[in-house]
Amino acid sequence: MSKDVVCGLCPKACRIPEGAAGDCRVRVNLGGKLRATTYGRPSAVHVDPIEKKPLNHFLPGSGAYSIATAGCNLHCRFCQNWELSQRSGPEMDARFRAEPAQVVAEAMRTGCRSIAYTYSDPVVFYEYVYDTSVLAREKGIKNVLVTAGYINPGPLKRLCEVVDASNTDLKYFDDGLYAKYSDGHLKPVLDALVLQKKLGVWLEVTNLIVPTINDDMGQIRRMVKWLARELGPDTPLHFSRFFPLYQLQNLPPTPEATLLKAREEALAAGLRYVYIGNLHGHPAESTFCPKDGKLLVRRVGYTVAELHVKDGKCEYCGTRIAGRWNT
Amino acid sequence: MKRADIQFAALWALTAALGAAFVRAELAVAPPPAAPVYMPTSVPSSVGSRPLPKPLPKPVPASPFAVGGHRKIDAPEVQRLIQAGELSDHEAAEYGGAP
Repeated sequence: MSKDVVCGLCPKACRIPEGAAGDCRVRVNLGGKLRATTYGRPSAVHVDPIEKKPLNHFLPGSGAYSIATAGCNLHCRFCQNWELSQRSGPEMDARFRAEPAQVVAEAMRTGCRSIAYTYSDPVVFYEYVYDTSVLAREKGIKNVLVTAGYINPGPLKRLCEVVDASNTDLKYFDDGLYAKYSDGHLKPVLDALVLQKKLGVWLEVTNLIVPTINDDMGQIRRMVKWLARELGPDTPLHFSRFFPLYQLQNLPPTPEATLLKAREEALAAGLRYVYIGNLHGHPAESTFCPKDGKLLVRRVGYTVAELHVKDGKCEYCGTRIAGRWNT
Repeated sequence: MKRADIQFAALWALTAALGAAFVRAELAVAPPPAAPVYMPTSVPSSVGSRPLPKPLPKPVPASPFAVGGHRKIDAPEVQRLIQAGELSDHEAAEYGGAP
């Protein structure tokens, strides 16, 4: 009798023989049962500003207790966190032991208003995220996903019941590029974006622009039009600057001009809040009122230097600014 | 000059002329230098000898995006780390384990 198991967490639907792992490297078939080997074993723990996730419209200036385990279900050739995401549990140098209750207690002790499941991809430490989120909610701590959104609708729906905010990567607007550079597909990610929005999770989207791979303005134009149409013009979009890492170290960092052009395209498509990330000190890190154009949140890197949003409204003209500012 | 020397000199001159003509012909049709192409570099040395991810098997009908693949692990080492408390044997949620 076969002791294979099929993992139903993400669209890859890995059929895993006994003594092997799924494509994510961390969900392992032991004795005919699927085990989440990184449950309670984070390999990275930091207190980050929420702006680092990046989330610019969610509790600005607050701390996010950030945890990650090894493993990822995508394998982006340009991964900016590959030391974590492209390794299995045994390959990690650091494995901390932190059960969900300890994570929540530490988040409270360090004054964080949220716990961010980040760096690698929370999809592959799903059970750990869920259990921690339930406890965090009981203590008034918010939960934040930083994810590539490569997850099946069923598990995502359940997770959205306990998650407050998400920054989801939309890496390309092209299925072929997803397959070629990330070992994934476009449609499941689009579905995950729509589902999170529909279920009331505060959603911001990141697109890492990688020179020569996804910097085609035609593709970016199609993407921003889709975002404005399907997720709405109030969905913040972050164009993030690529730095040469992992298997694409031969590429240059994204030129500033490319990021600015992409931002222009997004604003022209009707998106109201479009940011440039990883270009510290640039004015496009800040938030401006979509009505009167005044500076509402001045950011320098991950630091909030000025905040002129009061009760979710522009302090100058009273326009409602999308986000969860004081929850 | 001996007859053999004359023959050798003539042969040498003919060979040189043919060689030069061949080089000229090659240069005339040689393609321009290739433009630089961005190719993935090798994995940084800190990764050790772990190979690059291999293509996964063809999709199975379980999902339109299924790869049905898996990765080999050092199962005894995983078991040892679980025994040592460094890894967890937490059972996956209902989203895993379907036979």
